[in-house]
Amino acid sequence: MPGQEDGSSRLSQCNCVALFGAALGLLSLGLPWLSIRSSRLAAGEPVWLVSAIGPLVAGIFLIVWLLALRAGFDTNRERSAATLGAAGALLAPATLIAAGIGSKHLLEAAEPFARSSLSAGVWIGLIASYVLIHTAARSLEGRPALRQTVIWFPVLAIAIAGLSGLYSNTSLAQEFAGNEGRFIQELSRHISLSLGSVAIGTCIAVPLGTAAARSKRAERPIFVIASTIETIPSLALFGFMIAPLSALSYAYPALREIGIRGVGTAPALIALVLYSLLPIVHNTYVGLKEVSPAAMDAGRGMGMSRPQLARRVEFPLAAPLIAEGVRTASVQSVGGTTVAALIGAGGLGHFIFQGLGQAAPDLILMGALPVIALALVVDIVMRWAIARLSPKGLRAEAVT
Amino acid sequence: MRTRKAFIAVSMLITLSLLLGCAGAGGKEPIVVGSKIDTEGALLAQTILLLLDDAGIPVEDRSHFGPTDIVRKALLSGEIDLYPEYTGSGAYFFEGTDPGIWKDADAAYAEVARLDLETNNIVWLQPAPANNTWAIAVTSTLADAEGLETLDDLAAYLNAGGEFKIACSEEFVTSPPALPTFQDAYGFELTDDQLLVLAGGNTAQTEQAAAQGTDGVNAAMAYGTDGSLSALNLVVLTDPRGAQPVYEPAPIVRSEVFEAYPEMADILAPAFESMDLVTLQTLNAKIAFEGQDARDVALEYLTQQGFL
Repeated sequence: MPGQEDGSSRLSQCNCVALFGAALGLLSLGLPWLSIRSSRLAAGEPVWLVSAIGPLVAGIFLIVWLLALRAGFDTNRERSAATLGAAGALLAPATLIAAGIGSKHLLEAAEPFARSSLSAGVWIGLIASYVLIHTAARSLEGRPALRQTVIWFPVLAIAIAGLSGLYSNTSLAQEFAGNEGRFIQELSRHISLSLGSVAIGTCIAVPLGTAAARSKRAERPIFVIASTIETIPSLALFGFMIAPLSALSYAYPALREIGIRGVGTAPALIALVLYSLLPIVHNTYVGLKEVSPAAMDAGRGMGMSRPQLARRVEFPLAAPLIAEGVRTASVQSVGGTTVAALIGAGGLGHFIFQGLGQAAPDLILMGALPVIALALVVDIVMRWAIARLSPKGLRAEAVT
Repeated sequence: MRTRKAFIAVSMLITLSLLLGCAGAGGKEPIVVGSKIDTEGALLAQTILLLLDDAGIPVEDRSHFGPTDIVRKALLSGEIDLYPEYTGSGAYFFEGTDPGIWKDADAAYAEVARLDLETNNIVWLQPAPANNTWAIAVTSTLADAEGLETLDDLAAYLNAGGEFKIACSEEFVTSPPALPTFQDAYGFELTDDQLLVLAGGNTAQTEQAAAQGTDGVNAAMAYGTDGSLSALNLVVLTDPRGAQPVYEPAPIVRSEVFEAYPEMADILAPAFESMDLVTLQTLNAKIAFEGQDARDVALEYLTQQGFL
């Protein structure tokens, strides 16, 4: 049965991820693109791409997504990747720009306080474009220039379109315009709370992890405590801090002077530090345990003392894993800081809870989207730093 | 070399973020103004900030600080110096007081101002004559069809077997001053089928549910000064029997801060006196419904009225 064999091999050669992305993209064209509401709080009426921006542009979208689908079947790997990358890199900004221009047209014909929110079609379209870019970038390792273009063109195009005000008629942009000053303040609060807590957490967790690795007696209590903290819901942990800290600050007014009070930054910072402990303690422990005895023997053979061994053999070898723990803790902390807005510590959760209170979905998004972006940026920067921090001999293994 | 560069970059990032966090401490002591995490809290906080700033008093904006318990704790612990609170909340802060007192605007203000100064060293300034109390709002369709204006009308309609379903929060159903008080005062009883309890429900959500008729809902738990009521075509039923405590918003301030700037009483009073129920509803609507910035709304109002 030669025909069947041929078919199965062709199927195995096609890019399943790309096919998924292209199918998702085609699906997005069938979903509502925008949702027009007579006011900020009213219910939305769905608007499809064709009626938002006209059949011509909608047709172009359809053709590009179909081209991406065809490229998914292309057996020439490089040609396929180039087409997919170009399609994704163009579709991502085009999706947002179409939503922005569509909103402008719709609002011109609507009531004065009408709002136009991005709907499922836009979000699915963006995810689908990201899938195409992602799979293309993986296949383009051999063409660095093209690869960088495919990755950075959409980012730049989306940013430039944003700065030139193309999205200014979407409800999300209007929420942002209404809160711009506050946004910068809460963003910097969010960053300093989440990363500051991890910095303090690292200073506590690395010695704890070292103690756990060195002493059997310390190991159990340290892990029991760190894991138990991790199971407490964040709002509850924030709540637990309030009573003892208030009592402390009343007993010692000096503490209040330096900003340690029952509500606000202090309880949030302490709770976030506690949360950051487990991943770092755990990775420090594993990192030190996994240092090969041969490396230690070699060090001893060179006449190193115990502190020298720790400084020049153990910790450098464990560093990538410890840093990996810091990365996990940081990403987790960026998310956890959101809840801090409920105890007066501010942060991007401010907009999320305000939006929930007013039942204004776009205000919620204005808080939630930057949290996601921040987590991604922290993740990428830390991965890059970890790759650079690893001892040269370990680099190949470190990135797993 | 690259290792060290990356290390330096990361540690600089961390140091910078720590510094950002500590910035703001030290320097001249401004009045820290907080507020609850709702629309009216933001509006009143911005009003206070603009007026104080205009009078040359240094201020710091910590509005939208948190829910009532948190803002209150922040004031008591000195994390914030001033925030707008409601007179009727005195019934909640000071247990064991006569419940009748809180239903009279002037008596409630006098009582809470006295108790808070004696026990917590907190000064209550001039309140706004607007009652932001718990209320029941119905769709204007229902109100017009059945001629509902007061809670008495509602009780008659309900007892005659009229169709009714209200969106509300758990607290509204269980908290003694809310629904139970309405039921006792006006003589009606809602069955479980007539309640749509929204988890963590606030009035923005309940009002939206009523306006959209979600799940057959035609009424909503509301607060008297909610801005979205008229825009969503909802009508608040009046409370002729005075079943509810009066909730008038007033700036409250720690007495040591008040003594440092006693002129703030005269700076804030005229603006608060001018904010009646309709004014607050209108201003709240500009924030919640039109999506304007609370500061812009406050600035526009204060400028128009000649307070700035």
